Amino acid sequence: MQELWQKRVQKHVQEQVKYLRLVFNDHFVIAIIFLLGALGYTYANAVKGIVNPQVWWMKPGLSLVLLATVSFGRLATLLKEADHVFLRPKESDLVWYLKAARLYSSWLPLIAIGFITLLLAPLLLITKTWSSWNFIFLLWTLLAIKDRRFTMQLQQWYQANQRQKGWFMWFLIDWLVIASQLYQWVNLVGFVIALISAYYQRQQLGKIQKTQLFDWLQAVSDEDSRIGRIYRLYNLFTDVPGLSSQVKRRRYLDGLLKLIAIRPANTYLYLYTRGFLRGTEFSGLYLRLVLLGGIILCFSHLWWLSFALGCLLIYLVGFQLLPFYNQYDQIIFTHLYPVAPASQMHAFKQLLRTLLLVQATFFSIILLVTLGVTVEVGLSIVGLFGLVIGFIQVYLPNRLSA
Amino acid sequence: MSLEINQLTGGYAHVPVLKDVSFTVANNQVVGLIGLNGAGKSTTIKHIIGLLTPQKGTITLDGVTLQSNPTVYRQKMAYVPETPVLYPELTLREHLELTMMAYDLNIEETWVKANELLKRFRLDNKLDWFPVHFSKGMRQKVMIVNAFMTNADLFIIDEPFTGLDPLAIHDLLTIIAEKKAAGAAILMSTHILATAQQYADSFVLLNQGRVRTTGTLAELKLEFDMADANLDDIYLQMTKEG
Repeated sequence: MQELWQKRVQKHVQEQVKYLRLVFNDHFVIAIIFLLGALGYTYANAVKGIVNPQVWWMKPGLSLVLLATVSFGRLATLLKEADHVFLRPKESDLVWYLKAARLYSSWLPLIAIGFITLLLAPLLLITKTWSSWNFIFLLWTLLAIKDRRFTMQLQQWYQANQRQKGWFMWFLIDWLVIASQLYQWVNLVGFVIALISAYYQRQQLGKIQKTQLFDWLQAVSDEDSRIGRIYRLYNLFTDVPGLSSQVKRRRYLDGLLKLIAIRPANTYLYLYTRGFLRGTEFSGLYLRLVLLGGIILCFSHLWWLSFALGCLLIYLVGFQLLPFYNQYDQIIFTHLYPVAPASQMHAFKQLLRTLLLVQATFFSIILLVTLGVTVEVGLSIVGLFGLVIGFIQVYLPNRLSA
Repeated sequence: MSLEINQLTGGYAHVPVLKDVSFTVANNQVVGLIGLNGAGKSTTIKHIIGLLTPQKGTITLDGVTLQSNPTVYRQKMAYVPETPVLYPELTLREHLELTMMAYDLNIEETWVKANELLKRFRLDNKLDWFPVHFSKGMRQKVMIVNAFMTNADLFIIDEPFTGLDPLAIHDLLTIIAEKKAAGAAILMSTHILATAQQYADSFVLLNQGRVRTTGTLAELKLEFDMADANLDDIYLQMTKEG
């Protein structure tokens, strides 16, 4: 069983690395670095700028952030659907498999808890109710809570165990225990409670594992939905095979779609607009890049930097949307329609032009707000719109006919 | 004279699958395209609908070739593929609307026809569904409605009977008969020989990329010298010839 676990972890890690490499591609890394730098700078300034560290929302806020941190990361079992057939005879050894799984799953929450605590350290210290050695108790309390949660998750996978009972009570207890960490001396009480409950839960699990049967179907379906969540996240950035991008009805966009008159010349436009707005792949890409770009632009206070970034982002969005032109090549009817082939290019241009003009307008508004009305800003805006026109009229036809 | 294929040689990337194929599908006729897997039925159909370009020979539809006037050629033809293909982002209603736009059909008149067909195939309450929610049979019905609401002169139906329930097969045959009576030409490829024998006026027997023979059942019987044979027997006889 341990060997099986080893093999699965290896494969799983390989797979994750593969996808992470795709997610963090060049464009994205550049964007992220800009964004993190900007956020870090803003955060540092904000901390320095806090005049009254004892404002009423500070402590509840901090405790909520910490509570969210503890909720990050789930127990990864890497169980597969066929396991309940093939591994069932080995059920008694499953305890060891699950132990290994638990150990592996602990890394991510450990890192997250360490990182967030470190990040919050300046805030925790300026509240001044606290001396720095209390960090050790805070860390151990968070870890104990996470450990208890893992134990409870494991318990749920044994039959005849009441599921999800009292989760709200535990949620409250966790919050109180975490909040207690923000007060000198009370934090010791919270710390002890967290440790005892973690220990008690582990004892309970030991008993259950000896007497109860493993609920394979539940465990497998939980693991499936965990993996599914991860892949859906990846799918926002890259193509995950087997996870076809979803189609959403998005009825609220029907008003927009009605603007396209039903006549033969609009055949491809009809198809492309619906495909773009309802498919999640390209519309998601567009929204992400435009919003992310908008946020980045908000942090730039130099007109030439904003202009350069704006141009880069418009080019990036346009470039990333080009493959949508061939989206329907696989569907035979696209080739059979008695419509002039040139109208396909025309429709695609229309769609992309609208999208890029919306983006350019959005960026222009940001430029006007952050930099004010100046000659440079005016010229930059003209430049952005010029780029859109050039991209659509010159670059796009060349690129697609090549 | 509707569809006329004249000495067609063609296939994929200079590997000729079809050799010297000639046959015609006249108006008011249902022609069955019969042959083993790999005999060249699908390749023939791909040439007719224009997904493949002939290496030699011509395909004309009422005197128009795809090369001389693609828009008119395509407007004259409607196609029901063997494997249904739908746009994942369009609802059933929008699929039909898109076809109406592409074929430049009168929207109101065509909806009357479409609604009739939808009702017949019990799809009339599913107009706002997305393709993911359709079963395979339902998708096939969507393809059929989509093709038969047009005013095409030639209908090409690739293996229509597998995947449809008996009621739907009956409905499809009725629609084909109606279109035929209205003057359309219909080319239908199929392995279901009993049905083909009953509903097709004549047959094109393909074997290893060549037309073995064409004709009505009576003519086939003469050709193979099998007086009491049905289409099944003739087909088996043809495969034995190799």
